[in-house]
Amino acid sequence: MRPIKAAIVVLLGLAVLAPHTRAQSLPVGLFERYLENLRQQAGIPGLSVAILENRRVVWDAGLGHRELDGFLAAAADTPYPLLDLSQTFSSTLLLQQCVEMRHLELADRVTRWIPQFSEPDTTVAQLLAHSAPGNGFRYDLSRYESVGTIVAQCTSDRFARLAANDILDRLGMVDSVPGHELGDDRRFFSSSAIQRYEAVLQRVATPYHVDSNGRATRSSYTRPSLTSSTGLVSTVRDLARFDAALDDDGVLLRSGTRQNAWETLGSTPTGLGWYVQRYNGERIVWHFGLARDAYSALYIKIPGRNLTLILLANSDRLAAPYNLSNGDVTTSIFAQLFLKLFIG
Amino acid sequence: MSGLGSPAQAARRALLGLMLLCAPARADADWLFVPFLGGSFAPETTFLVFEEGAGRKLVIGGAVMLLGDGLLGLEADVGHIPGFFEGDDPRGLVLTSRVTTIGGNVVLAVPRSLTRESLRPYVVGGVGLLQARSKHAAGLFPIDWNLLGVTIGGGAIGFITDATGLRFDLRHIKAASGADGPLARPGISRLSFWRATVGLVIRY
Repeated sequence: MRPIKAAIVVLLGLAVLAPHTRAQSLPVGLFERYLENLRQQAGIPGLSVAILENRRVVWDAGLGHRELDGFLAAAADTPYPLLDLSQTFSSTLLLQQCVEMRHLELADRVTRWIPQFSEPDTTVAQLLAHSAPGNGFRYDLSRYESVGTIVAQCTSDRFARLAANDILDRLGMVDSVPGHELGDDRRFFSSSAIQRYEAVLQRVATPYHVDSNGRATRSSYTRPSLTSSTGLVSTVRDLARFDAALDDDGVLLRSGTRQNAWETLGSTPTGLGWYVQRYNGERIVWHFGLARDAYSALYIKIPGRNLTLILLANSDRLAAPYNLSNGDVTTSIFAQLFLKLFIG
Repeated sequence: MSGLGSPAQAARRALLGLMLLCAPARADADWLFVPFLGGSFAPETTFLVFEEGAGRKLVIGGAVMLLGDGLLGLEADVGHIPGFFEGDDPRGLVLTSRVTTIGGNVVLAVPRSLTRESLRPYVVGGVGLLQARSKHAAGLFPIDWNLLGVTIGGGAIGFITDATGLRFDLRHIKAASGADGPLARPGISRLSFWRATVGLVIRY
């Protein structure tokens, strides 16, 4: 019995230590030093970051300030507008609620669900991929808002309520809000939920304009209501929960659905709600967010390595200097840092 | 990444041209050999800089000047700044770095008939090669550039003995090309800095 007991103890010990040992194999300390340096050079007042490996957060932190005037430090639980990253939630909802429930086929014409949609031949898959028959790829936020309308049609529910119930609440994303401006959706939430949302919104990082000398000045930002293109508010810590759930088969999506979402649609640089490209033989799945002179975001997944990087910033410098909407994340110095350090 | 071809060749051609121009210079012009020591300061760059305090470093180098009694002179100048991109943190991200400048310059000096035996002021300007190298932790974001550099500055030369003296020199050295760095600010040169040196002048 004694050798068996000893073996069990050793195995249990290894099981507990394994994630930490693995986490330490990532050069997170070096990444942090480079990232902080790039943050300062880019002129980002506050930056929150999370790195996940194998669905576990190996590092999350805030660098700089979420508000310069009050010297309020940015943290991993600092809320920011997700901007275009909201699209990854929208596509997940559509795939989960409509496609996996067999209410909808990706090959359906958009006009089946929105008769007045101006492109009669465009399919739901093409809408999710920012493409259209004959026109190729065109990143268009207002066009992508039709995704939310389709989700509402196929579920007979409000898009904001679905986002709140089926993703935010389900995953315990307690620092996330389904709409920077709750607007008409407010009446669909409980008073306790509204209170929580308002408390989160009060902590949202202050937006800054950064001039050509790197000086940051407070800027104005028009808070959007939730659409399928933009409007979610969240933290890197909450996004890490979303990310882990996304990679966990069946929690948000079945593995086949997820795989399908992360394949490029024809010659476009996009899958279903995500940008997809290759880097040194690895598939990279990513999205960015940009509000000029206010906020930016970057979310990069390397499925083959089970690695994820999430960055949220209170200036536009994560995304504005690069034409990320064209589909090449490697133009971003922040993406280069992550990819070179963790892939090579 | 390196733009080795044209700027380096242009600099060499410019230097060669200047030295050739020296050949027909007046026979009574002096050859001045000037080993110098000094410092760089006020750096600006569009390269990624990973350490606080970078660009304020010791400069070593040497110059050969051909200077007669009149207004016009010529100069070839080599400056070397080890550790240019390194700061004060011994655990910094920069492993090794340097900036080296090789230039050919025109010197406009106050004629000796006016200065007599006192300090002889001059202004200097020219072009050359500006070579920047920097290696960083994990091999990320290396700097490996050969750029066309432009120099403008001035100083004064004074002789202590008939054959030896001192040169006090201040010049601004900058890359002729503008920003294309990933976080580059518009309107600034890829690399520029001021260089202040004191040199021992040996008249040949």
